[in-house]
Amino acid sequence: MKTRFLLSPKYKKFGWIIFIPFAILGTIAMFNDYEVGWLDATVPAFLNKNLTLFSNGESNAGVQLFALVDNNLTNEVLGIFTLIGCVLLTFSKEKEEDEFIARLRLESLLWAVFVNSILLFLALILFYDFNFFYVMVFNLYSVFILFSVHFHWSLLRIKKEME
Amino acid sequence: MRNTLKVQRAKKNITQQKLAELIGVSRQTINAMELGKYVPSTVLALKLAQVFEEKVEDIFELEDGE
Repeated sequence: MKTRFLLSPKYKKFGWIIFIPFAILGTIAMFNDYEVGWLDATVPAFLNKNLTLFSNGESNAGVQLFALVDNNLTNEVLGIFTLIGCVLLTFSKEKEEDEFIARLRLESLLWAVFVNSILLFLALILFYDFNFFYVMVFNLYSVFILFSVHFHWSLLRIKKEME
Repeated sequence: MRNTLKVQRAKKNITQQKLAELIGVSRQTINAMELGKYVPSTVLALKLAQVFEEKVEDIFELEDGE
């Protein structure tokens, strides 16, 4: 079947191989504020707001459209690889991708977005202040995770039914 | 929608797997169609008709109230 936006099935295993370790490391690093020393770097940043200037009640003097900032890249690296893992494992075709599988895909995607909305709703009324930051980070990947769980569970259930 | 896929398959004496290969879908799809859980696209219905040498109407039939 001709499909748009889907990758070759061989990428799925790379998706799992990348996603699982980086998601775990990323979660650990986030909750422990862990940073790898040699990943300190000066990087170009879009929209740089100097918070110390800003909190002094000065106007927009501290806001720069572009700037070079000192930053530790640990969270960026972990975040990017987690995302690559997510994309590979959700956008890889099944070995026998056909119209029925495509319908399962669509159902799983709808389910994932719907459940994600419910989770976000609950998070909005249950998490406050800086704790909401963790929700936001989790929410970056939650649609991928929910989709993958539902889609693979559906496939597994169908295969079991056939036996 | 009702279908006679199972009967047609028995007449031709082919397995779900073989039928799946003939029309280029997965075995899950054949199974889902036979169980009435999946209504195939027109293209797939025509391919099935071709394999069974029947008219689409003789394989698929609307149920009352559809």
